[in-house]
Amino acid sequence: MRSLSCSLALALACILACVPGARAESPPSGDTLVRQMDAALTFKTRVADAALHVTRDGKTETRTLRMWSRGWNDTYSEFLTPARDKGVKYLKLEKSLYMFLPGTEKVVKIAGHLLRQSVMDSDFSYEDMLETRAQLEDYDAKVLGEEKQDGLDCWVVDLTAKRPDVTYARRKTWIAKDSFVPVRAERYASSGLLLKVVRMSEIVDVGGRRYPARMVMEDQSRKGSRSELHFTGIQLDLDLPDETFSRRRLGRP
Amino acid sequence: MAFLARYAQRNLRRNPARSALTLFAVVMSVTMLLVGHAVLTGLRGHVVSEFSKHTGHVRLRDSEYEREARFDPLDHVVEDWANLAERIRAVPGVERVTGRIHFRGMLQSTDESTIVPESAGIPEDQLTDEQIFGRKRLELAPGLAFVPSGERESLKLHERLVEGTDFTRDDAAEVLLGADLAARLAVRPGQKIQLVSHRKGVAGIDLVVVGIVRYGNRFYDRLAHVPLNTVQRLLDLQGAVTEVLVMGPGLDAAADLRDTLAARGLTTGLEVRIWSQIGMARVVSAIFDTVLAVLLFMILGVAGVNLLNTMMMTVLERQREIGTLMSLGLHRGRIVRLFLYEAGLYGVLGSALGAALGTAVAHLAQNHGIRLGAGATQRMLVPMGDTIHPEPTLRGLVLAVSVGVLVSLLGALWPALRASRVQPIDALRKT
Repeated sequence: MRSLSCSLALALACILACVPGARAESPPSGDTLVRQMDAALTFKTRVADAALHVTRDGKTETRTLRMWSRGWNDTYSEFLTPARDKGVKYLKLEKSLYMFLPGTEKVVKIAGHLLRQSVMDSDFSYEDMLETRAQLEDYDAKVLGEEKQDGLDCWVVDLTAKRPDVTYARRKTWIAKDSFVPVRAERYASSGLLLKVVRMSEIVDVGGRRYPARMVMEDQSRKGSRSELHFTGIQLDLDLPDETFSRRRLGRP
Repeated sequence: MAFLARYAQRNLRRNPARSALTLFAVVMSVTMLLVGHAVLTGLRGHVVSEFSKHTGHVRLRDSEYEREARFDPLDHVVEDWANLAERIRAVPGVERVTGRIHFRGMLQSTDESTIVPESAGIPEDQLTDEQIFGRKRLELAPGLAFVPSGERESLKLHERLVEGTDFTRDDAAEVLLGADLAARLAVRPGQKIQLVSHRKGVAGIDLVVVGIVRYGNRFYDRLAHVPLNTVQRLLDLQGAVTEVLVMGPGLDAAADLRDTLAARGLTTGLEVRIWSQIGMARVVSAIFDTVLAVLLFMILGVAGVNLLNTMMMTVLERQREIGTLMSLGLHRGRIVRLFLYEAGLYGVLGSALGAALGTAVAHLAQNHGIRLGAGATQRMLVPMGDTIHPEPTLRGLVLAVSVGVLVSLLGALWPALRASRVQPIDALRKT
């Protein structure tokens, strides 16, 4: 009787192991997942229109802008509306950030503690703008498990900063299994305090690539605040002239 | 009674050196108390008067602003302040009404001498930022916006100028920089700087540096002063201020003025505070009371212990005399009174001399002033001069004389009681 039970259990285990859906999925390494996430968001160039909706205390203000990006490092953006912000331009080159204000016709180079200021009164800071996607350079990655996020199956990856001068000491990221888009990321201070929550959604098809068209940032230190960057008309991998990212061009009214 | 008084008076002359020392202790204690009180009164008056220039006698703010004041919350402002000011000015007793905006902004100066012109034909990737944009200096600094003509006599910026001039008009795109801020930005009068605000997006204006002011205070020497109209345009706060300051007939009348404004419905929905309810004024009053208490305690220590010592010596030396007086029928109560008379004489005489000396010293210090040194006032929350002028008052005089007499009597009480408990027979046996 006892040997019959053992044989049945063994047979059942063999059957279950052969059924594809029932096999436990072995998680890829943290480094692999982060590399795949970076690849999903990487482009040679990107041109897009965007609407920045900043909601504070129940009131929403919308600004529109056009963005030109080259790889992870260079971005030129120009605000189009409202009239008050029309002509404000930002140029990010590697780790440098410049701002052109039409009211003064002068370029301001944003550096040091000023990087903590918010961009256009939104939940994004200048530090956030300066971030590159190559997170493995700055963080050690570890897979924590799997979870559903916004209805999508995700890997949960914990990223711990390798150096103390990194803006966020720790990040917890939910990477969608199908698109490798980070649908949610929590950014923490070294004290463990949650500073920001970023969500990416509305994953659209752009020339055969799956790309998130909506990014929501919530700065936890600003009560009742939420900023949403919604891209439209995304074009990837166009040829952009070097002049697009020229410092001299930025300084011209 | 007269006999006891004469007897006490004669006892004072028995040991002139000891009596002089005791008298000296009382004189010095009363002098110290009087001068100390005058210095503290002068210091408090000085701080409060300087402080009230920045708080007004009555201050009106949006209640949400009051709660989050340290973040300069520009979303919570007093709207249409000119109309409110007009209505407040109509209230009897109101002498001046001003509006201010406290803000933080990025200030940038540019040294264009480093710029390489495009016509030089040098490729951009071979040029540094300084060669393209000029040498930039950027500071995140606190700012104060006000109506220059309305605050000329309260802020007295023209008296603090170390370089340049005061504002030329109320709506000018001009800035007066605190001396430290000007040094950090490396600018001088006549140069242009940019003021950038991140309120409701980002906006910037060019301002001409017209003057540099020095307060001798760490916070205020980093302050940018800008005309109210100019800042309202930059911050998109047309017609609004972060606070309205009301000046009445005097500091003492501030509470009445507040009540009058409230009764006329001029403060509805606003947070109203009088100068004494605002941060530093409360602290200054608490410090004044604490220092005065410490001073009193020291006086009690110096004069009281000296009196106690003198009277105890007298009691021990005069055991036989006390015994004789008691055996002649002088009862215990009169023995106590005899010693208290003696101490009272020290107190009255010492207090009178101390009052005269203290008043003279306090008046001398009042005329000449006491310099605290620049370092002493640099870290204060409001700018103030480093010279204080003591204020001798009748209250201080009464306090010092009363304490002088009272301490003398208290110091003699225990020895007097001890003398009254002497047994005549035991006292007479002592040689």
